[in-house]
Amino acid sequence: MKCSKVRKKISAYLDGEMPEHKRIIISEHLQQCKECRADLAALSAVTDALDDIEGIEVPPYFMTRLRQNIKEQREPVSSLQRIKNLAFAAVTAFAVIASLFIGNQAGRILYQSMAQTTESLEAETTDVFGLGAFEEFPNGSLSDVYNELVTGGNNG
Amino acid sequence: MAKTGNKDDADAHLIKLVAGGDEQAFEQLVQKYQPAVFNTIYRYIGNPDDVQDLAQEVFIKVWQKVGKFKGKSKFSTWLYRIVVNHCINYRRKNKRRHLSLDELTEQGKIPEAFKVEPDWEQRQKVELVRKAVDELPDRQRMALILSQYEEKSYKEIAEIMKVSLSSVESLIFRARSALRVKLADVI
Repeated sequence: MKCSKVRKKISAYLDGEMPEHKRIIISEHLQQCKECRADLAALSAVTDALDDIEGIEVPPYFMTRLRQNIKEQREPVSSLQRIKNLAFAAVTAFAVIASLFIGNQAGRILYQSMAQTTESLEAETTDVFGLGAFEEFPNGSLSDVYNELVTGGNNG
Repeated sequence: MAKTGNKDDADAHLIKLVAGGDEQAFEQLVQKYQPAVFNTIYRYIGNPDDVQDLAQEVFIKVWQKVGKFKGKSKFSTWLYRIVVNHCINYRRKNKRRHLSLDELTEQGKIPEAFKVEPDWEQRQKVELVRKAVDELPDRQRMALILSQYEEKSYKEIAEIMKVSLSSVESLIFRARSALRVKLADVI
């Protein structure tokens, strides 16, 4: 057998995909032909390199997803159901937006009323606990009396 | 994949049940073939993100069409034909290819730190091989994948791809020869 013919068959030879009598002929040729042996070695190296490519794992949730997909295939959503679903989605979206708006407005009113309450509370607290004591000369203090005497009551 | 007569008999029994709407039998069939389906798709389309979607489509098709399977060929041959058709359609619609390690790193799918790992060079070599396979013409790539990874005989590949036996031999020979040239510096 000629080298050109052998080389075309080397891939099938590697895979064991040829009748026995052809296999014997090619084996005998390879024993005598250095070039064809080099060819065989090169294709064999390609096969080895291909073996290095790893596969991938099947994700654990694959079957669950498949079950769901098949269920949907078996029970296709009717047009009426689709409209109902859309309407439900629209109502839900409206309810969410309305809740956000109402919540926002309510929050604003509550904040304003709380701000007023805080203001009056601050004034009351100042009076009750005498927080005016932290002023330069608190009313009724010895310093205030002395200051009035010295300045003739002109102190602000 | 089913190669022995016993396994084929087991498939035949399962398929009969599945055709009658038995979901448990279908799940058994899926469990048995899902690794082969996943890996054939992955090696062919080269994009890990889309493998699961395609595998779902394949098994949904099996569920829908199993009643039309007449048992003239092995179930695995019929299943692989569905896989091949889905893969070819996918590649027609999507011209995306295998992402290189650098591209995967750029996209944040592989941390930079991996680059200092001792097996980084080996991984780059594997990536070059993967890229070379990805660049093969569609039919050569599929014939090679079925032979190399799924250990299908040339006869089965011919049935799956609906081509002659000599075509399969030629496709695989040309695929390996092309890879030999492309990977001359690597192997």
